[in-house]
Amino acid sequence: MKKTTFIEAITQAMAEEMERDEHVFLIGQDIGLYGGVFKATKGLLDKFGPRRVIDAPISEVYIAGGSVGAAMVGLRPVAEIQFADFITPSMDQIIQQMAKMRYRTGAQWTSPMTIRVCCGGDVGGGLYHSQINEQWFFSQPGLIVLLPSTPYDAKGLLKSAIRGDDPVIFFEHKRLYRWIKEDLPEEDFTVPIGRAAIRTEGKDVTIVSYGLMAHRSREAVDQLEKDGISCELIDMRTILPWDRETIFESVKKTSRVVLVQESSKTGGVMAEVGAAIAEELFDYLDAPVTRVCGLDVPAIPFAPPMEHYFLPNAEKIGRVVKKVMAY
Amino acid sequence: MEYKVVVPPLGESVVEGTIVKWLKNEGDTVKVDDPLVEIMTDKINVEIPSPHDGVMKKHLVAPDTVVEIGKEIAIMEVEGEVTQARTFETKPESGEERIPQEQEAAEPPKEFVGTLDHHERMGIHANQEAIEGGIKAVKSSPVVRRLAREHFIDLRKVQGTGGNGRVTKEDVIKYIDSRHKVDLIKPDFVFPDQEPEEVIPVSGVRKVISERMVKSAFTIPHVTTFDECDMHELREWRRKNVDRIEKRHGVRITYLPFIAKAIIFAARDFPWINATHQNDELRVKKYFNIGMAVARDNSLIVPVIKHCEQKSVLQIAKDMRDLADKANADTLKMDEITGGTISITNAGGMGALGSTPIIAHPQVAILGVHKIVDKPIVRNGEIIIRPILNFGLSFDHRVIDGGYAVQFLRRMIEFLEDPDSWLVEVI
Repeated sequence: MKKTTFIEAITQAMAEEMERDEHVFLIGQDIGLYGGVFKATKGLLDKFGPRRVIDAPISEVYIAGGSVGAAMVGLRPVAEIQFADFITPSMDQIIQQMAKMRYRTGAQWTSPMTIRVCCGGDVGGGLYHSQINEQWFFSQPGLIVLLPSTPYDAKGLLKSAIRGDDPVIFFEHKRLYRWIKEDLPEEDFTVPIGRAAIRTEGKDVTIVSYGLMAHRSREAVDQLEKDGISCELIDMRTILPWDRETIFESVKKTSRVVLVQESSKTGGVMAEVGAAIAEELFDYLDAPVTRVCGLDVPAIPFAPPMEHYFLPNAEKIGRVVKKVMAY
Repeated sequence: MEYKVVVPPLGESVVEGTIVKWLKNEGDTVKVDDPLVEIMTDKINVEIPSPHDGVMKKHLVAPDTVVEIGKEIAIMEVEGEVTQARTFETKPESGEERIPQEQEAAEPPKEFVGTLDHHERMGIHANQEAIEGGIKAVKSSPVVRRLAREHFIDLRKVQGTGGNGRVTKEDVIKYIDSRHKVDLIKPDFVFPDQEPEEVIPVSGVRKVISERMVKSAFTIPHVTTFDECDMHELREWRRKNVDRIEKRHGVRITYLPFIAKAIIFAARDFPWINATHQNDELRVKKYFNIGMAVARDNSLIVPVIKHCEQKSVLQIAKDMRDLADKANADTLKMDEITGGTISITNAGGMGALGSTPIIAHPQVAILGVHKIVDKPIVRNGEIIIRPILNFGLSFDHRVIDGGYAVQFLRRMIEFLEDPDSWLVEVI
């Protein structure tokens, strides 16, 4: 069987959900005729026609707001934001309308929609083609924020997002699009929202991560194992609502935790996860809760050495884990 | 000036000793007569006192080294001019010699006493005060503090392996595991340190015992012959007289002095049994220096009663008592544990009914004395109850034939079974 790439898994999920439910439609810049800037929607215009695969104007606020309206009246929009760097114009619709719709209308109105957001660095994309900005959405209750790291999870989670009745920001890390491949089941499957995955079981230290950093952490774990350190690697997959149970159980077991995130350190997802661990699991900790994050600078630099300097990698993660182990 | 410390003369016929441990470390200030070093000679440990005030500058030999009399073993810095190698007497009777083995280890820690909780009493759980004291005293993380409270641990007892010696969670879990094993295996037993094993170095006196046992057991082809002695007559005699003798002579007489005498009488006809055998020579002794094995806390010593053939039963009894007291007080002199010609070991005192004792090389025989038990025996076709002592005589089969030893033992028993025939001569 041909291994499926991350981006093929995304395409399959959309196509299968569109076939399953006629209310599902796609909207985004260049997704129709061009097939998407990363070709995530390639072939779907031909298959489903222009009423279900809509090329949007260059207006993120329209893509988000139009989708909220369509969702309110019973459709299942799957919108695409070409780059997370450009999502800011749509923030009003996302934060003020989409996220709060169920809450402010007492569930009389909902916004069952998915916004696919292509994101992430380590691609030489420079300031405006490398950000994730997941922390902006992570801090907004009412949203579901997903950030898968494997084709299986990408397909399964995207299907869960489309089928669910709550608004989802679905981040797709562009570094993973054609790098990560795996065999996927022939049959229909979903991955539950809100559940992290334990990628490797270990006993000495818990590493929590997601997205590209789950892979960088995995590389570190493999090296650390050779050095005699047994790491438990947790891939969050869903970053809002994040899986406290799985993470807490692991930290209770290992008593040491290293949190790895690609975005800048301050105010990031791991700031919250770390604070919750310190708050809830103080009596279980044998070493300080420690983060490995992107640097606190305005954006990921363009020059490759500087981009690498910004991003966490296996070596940096390994170094921090050893420091935590030696505490 | 520098003063060279040498091994002083340590007693009759002693040519060497083993350094047990240094009692003054390099750099320590030393006053005259302070013990400098503990030296083991034969079975006695001697502390060598300092001849001068000064400072211990350098140890020239390490513990466990064998040193000859006169060898330089340390350099001291002393003030002014002193005569080198001043000779001085050691004082083995001072009562200060100590066996170097870690007897203190058997002492349970203080906090085991006076607590109510079962686990506390058993030393498995620390009490509240010790737990909180440990938490305050030891650098630890939140999880370690929680575990200490949950599992009643005094963190001061846990070896820390973390940064700056911090006690880690893993350290505590290891400690709990080891403690738990103790709990499961033997809940009523106090292992003070909760380690799964206690390592006791075979050194010092124990090493001497070990080496001697090996030498004897693997040099001498041992054979042990057993024979039973009817102690009725002697027991009756003793019952009648023991209190009177104690009142008049101050010694509560046991059976052993009689047995010693019986050995001497029996050896008149079987003289080779009282001899030493080495270097292809059997030296048959015309005198009887009888070794009497004495068990101490965790070692064994065989003081020798000299010239038993010239002593009364009472005198032998007194000598035995005195030597046993000295053995227990660790004040035996060298000549009181050397020169034996035959030995007696009394496992019966602790209840043994039989044993195959190991000969004290280079002697050729050792008599094992066992518990006197009332037994039904057949005499003249009738079953009667008699107090029976089962003797075990181990002998050096290279020089003593089986028949010779068996006959010696029977002859000895005949004397013991009919004490009236000889007792009046030697009491």
